[in-house]
Amino acid sequence: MIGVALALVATPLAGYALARPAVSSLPRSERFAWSLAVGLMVQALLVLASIGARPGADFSLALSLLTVLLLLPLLPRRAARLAAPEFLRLGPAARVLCAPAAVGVALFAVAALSEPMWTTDYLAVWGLKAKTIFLTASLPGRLFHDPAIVWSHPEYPLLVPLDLAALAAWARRWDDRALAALYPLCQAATAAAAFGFLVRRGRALGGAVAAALIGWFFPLYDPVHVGMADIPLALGFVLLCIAFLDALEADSPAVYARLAIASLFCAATKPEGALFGALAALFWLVLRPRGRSWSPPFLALLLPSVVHGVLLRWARGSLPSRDFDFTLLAPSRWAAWLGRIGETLARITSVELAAAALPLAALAIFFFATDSGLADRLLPLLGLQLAFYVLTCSLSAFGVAWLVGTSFGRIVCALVPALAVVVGARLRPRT
Amino acid sequence: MTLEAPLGQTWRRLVAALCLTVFGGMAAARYEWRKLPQFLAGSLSSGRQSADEARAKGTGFWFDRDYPAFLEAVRRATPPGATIAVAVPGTLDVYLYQAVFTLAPRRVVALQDGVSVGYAAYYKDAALSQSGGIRIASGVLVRR
Repeated sequence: MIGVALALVATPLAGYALARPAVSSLPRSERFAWSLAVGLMVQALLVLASIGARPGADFSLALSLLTVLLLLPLLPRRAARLAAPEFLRLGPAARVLCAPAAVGVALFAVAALSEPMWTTDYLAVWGLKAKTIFLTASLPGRLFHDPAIVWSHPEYPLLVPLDLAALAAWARRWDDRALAALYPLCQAATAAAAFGFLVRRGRALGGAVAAALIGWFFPLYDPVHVGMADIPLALGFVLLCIAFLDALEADSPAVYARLAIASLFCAATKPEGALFGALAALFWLVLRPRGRSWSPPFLALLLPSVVHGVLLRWARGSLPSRDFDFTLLAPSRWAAWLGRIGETLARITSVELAAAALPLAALAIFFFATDSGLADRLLPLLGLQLAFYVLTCSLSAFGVAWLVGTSFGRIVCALVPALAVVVGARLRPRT
Repeated sequence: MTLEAPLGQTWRRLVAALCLTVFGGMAAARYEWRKLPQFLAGSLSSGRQSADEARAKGTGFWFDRDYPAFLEAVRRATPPGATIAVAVPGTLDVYLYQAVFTLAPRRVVALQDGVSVGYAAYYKDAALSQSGGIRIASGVLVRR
């Protein structure tokens, strides 16, 4: 556990060392979230570099040393760090609401760390890849091409498996329980990102409410989701959303760098992350303020995920997803596909929506009872992502009911922290 | 569209707060509060048992408490580079998933797919028909 704890301290620090020019002007909580995201990508890259340089050799020491090397530039900057920008002071209500957020994260941490990670998707997908990478100190081709484990989603990106392998390398052993500490940290970073952004935009109370909603959103922050990619992806969604809102307001290299970081983090975590980045790029073209060039934010959103996708394809070849029946997209089968879409909507309405009717109704009334906020421009983006999830479920190769039942609720829950930013932004200070 | 016309600012704030409380409360209700003492005990006991012991006793083997000892015996008896065919009950996919994960980095295949493998591991009922091989916890391991 000590090794993992060290890793989880070193990871955001290493991320900060690299991302400092892009995040140094942000509040401390938001800086932490960005630094963790960058740090996780750096750890994954260092694992790849280490096992690429010496396949089969123990990479624990190399990983730790390389991370420490990255931290060195931070030392002389201590004085500069202390002179970080001042932001809005928190009012009493906001201070009180920050405590529940911390309690929520602590409750999830206790649940997540109570036993070794065990969920089916952890065993069959994320954990299997991570453990194999760690124990072989390599990226065996069979992880992608072995028909015996065709159910392990070989087409998925590798950020989470590589990060779990990195944490195990810091601990110098595979410990399913200690590695679970990554997940509450991601939750804390997600809440911190939402809080920091809204404080920076003059919505201290809204920031505290958003953080509290994220802290207590146990449908996502559930032990059942520990070991999977949805919790880190929720962090990526929030980072991409706040960077997108920044890009609408400001035109600076730091903002574009944050867009690119968030887009890469999302794409490297899960396929729906790449989709979100692509949709955000399209929305930028529609929503960009007059007189602003379309290209820098568009490219910052799209290029990282395109480059990531090309590199993955180059490294492991084309890997079609077995979960989807893409022949439904052929014009000759559009009638059948339309029927599937109807079936998907019926299933979602009768099962998923019915189960969440009360909280959804409360959320709808909240939107009617409050004025529009600075983050409302995210709603079409989140809505379109949701619509794509419906379409995706309609393409299920194993039947609509199966994919809706196993995935729809979970992947929608990963969007809720981003929605919490929209909710928080609608809470204006008393005038 | 907002409720601005029929409701004043204070009422709107109250409605918004109530809605958020309902939303947050429903989300909070998804926490397994009854298990909180168990979660606390589990978190605090992390140093007292090995990772493998904790896995064997954890939720991951809810379906069969004898299975972790079998997999551990197979793991101990086979080299990390081995390919192992496992004969496990086909009723639950998680038998195979646990075998593949627990025995990693060994390559694990289902018995019917394991024509040319180094080892075959038979669990419980599947082991009864095996005359050769080594007896291990709840099963038999055959070197091919």
